[in-house]
Amino acid sequence: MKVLAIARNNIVRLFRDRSAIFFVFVFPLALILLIGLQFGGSFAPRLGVLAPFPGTVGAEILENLESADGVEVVALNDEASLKEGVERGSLSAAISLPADFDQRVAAGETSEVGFIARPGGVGSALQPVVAEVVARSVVAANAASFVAAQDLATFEEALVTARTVEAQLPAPEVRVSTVGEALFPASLGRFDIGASSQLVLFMFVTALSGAAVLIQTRELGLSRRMLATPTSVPTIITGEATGRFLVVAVQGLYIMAGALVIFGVDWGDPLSALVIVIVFSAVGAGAAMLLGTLFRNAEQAAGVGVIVGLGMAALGGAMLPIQLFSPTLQRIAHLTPHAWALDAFAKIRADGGIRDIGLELGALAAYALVLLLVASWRLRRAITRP
Amino acid sequence: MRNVIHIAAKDLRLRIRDKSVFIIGLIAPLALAFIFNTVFGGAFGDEGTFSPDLGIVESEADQTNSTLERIASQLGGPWKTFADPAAAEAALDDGEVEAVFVVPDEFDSNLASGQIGAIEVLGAIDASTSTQIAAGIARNYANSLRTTQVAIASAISAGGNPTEIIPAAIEATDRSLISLGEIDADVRQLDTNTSTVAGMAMFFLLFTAQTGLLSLLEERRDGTLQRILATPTRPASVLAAKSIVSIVLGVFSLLVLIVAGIVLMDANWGNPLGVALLVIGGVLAAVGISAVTTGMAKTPEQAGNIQGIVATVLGLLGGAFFPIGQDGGILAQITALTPHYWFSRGLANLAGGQPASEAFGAVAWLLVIAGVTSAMAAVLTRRQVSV
Repeated sequence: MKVLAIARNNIVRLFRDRSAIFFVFVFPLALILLIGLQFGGSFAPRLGVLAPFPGTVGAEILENLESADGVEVVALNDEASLKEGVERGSLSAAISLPADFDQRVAAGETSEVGFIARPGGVGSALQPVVAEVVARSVVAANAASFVAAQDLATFEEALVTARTVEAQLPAPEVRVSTVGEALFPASLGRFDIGASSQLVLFMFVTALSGAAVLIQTRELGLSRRMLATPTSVPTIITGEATGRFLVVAVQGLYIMAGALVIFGVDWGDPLSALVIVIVFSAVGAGAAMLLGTLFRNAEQAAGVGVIVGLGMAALGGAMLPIQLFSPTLQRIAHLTPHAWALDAFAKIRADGGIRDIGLELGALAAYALVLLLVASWRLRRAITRP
Repeated sequence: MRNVIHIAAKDLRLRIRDKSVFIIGLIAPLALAFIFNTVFGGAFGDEGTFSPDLGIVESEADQTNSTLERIASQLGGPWKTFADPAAAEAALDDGEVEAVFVVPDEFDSNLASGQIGAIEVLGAIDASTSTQIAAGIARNYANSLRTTQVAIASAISAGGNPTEIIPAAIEATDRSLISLGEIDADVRQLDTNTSTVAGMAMFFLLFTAQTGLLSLLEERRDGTLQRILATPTRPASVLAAKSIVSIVLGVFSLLVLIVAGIVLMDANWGNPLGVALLVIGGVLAAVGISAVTTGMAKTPEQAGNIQGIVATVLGLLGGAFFPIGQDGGILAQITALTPHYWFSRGLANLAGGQPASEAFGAVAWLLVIAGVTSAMAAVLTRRQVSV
């Protein structure tokens, strides 16, 4: 009973600070929304197209570019937005069709399509894609210009012939097929990956912010007074740990439910998801207790908590999917509990059950156990020290 | 004036003795910028040009496949060769290559006899851009075959002599009515390292910039403010002193971060005068915002909490953590309301050796933010310095 009273006291003190309500309940869901809006689309390089008067040939070029898979076409309105986009990096590359483009092609005259790519990055590699689409659209015109150059017909006559020939002759075929299994299945919703990343990120950051409360408990003299009552040290430590654990677990369940209801995030098997949240909450509680015993100044603990919370989230793949890391960095990432929790969420999203995530749960449980044991030992010293 | 200096000097000493300001102002931004660079730099490294890892299936049966040669000549970079499609697929699965060309053995001999075959491009499923580039190269070649083919057929139907037409058409293959020409532009974007350091520096600046003003509420709580005001010290002097502490700490932390960025993370900051102006504008804007949040609070804890929310929301919307609003739309307009956006934009304008004047626009916007927030703060903080 005393354990629960101590835990309750911790929670009350945390939520007396109104901003905690914002960071625990409002902010995570707002961030899932923001990241979903910003990154939910594709990662394809963006190709700007400036074609004020596309004409027949231009329209064909546009259509072929839009049907290309690995490129996202962005229509532009003026030269300034083309340059601005490429200079500032919002476009990887851009092409500009001259205004008299269609007329010149129809008359058999040469013209130039402007191409600009960011130096470095993926933009310059898009050049063959653009060149091919442009060339494909002028096959008949090029053939006609050859016929005219051979003095066999005028360009206009030859163009009519070439168009007929083009329609009748079978074309050399390029078959494109893909190999392997996708890292991010197409069925994945706009918010799905973001939701589990934000879940572990926020649970851990919230947990670490509890370290400051632990220091306050000592600063305010609460632990001294508790010890003066017939309350054993293990009871106090268990109470402090339970307080941390409950806050983190409640936040985790709240984010899960919120993301499910508001954004329709598919978490996979509910039982497994619940178990991951609970075990991860225990890891967070242990880390918070440890941090709370390493510092004596609440502000310093809060500052270090932000570094550790955000830093471990970045390293553990909660900011950028771990699949995009280099192999070495992927191994380093698995030093963080975040990576294990995210792996577990990925498995249950792919229709795994509780049996499939045994390894991940085991790793998380080991973290929780070690952190809680070390933290309890340190806390015992901190509060019994004269 | 002497009172202002006295109070400011006392506060600075107190802040330095309490180590928190170093953690928030220096260690946190540096540590996080370092981690972010390690993690994100590997995935979105802007070192060097993106070059897809491509391969060619070259079966021993046909070493003189001219189609393969033509494709290889377009690759530009190095490529791997595979003996058969199965080996290529295994390499694709392992991530060794991203896309592979498969040209059937009889493709060229069939071509000579007028039969058109198919070139195959195998791509790894998660390398759609590389696959698309490989497909572009293959299609480019197919298009040139196609143009020659259509040209020959059209010329013959127009009465040309095949023996003259065919060599002429093959020679004219690479001539096209349309060519791709380069458009010139500068780079006005920071490299990954510099932009993460800049983003983190500005994010934590909002916390550092508050420390000076926060002590106003602390002194009020502890009763020292009332004692200061009982001396011949005007409330405005107290406010000025507290603001000076915030500005000094803010400028100090930004300058240290800029230098540390160069030494530890190879950051490129551009024209020193332009950077200095941006630092001043950024610090003034951050102090103005902190003054508003401090003015809204009754206790130092409350002020710290409000600032935490404001700083985090502004940092996110300002693109301190990840780029925001590059696609235009409402996010692009919201992000322009944050000092983070203008600070980064000003630095980006200086990238590539531009003169300081390129940053003037961003500095002006930072000063506008500073002016508006200071005016609001002047009204809000009036009651806090009254006894």
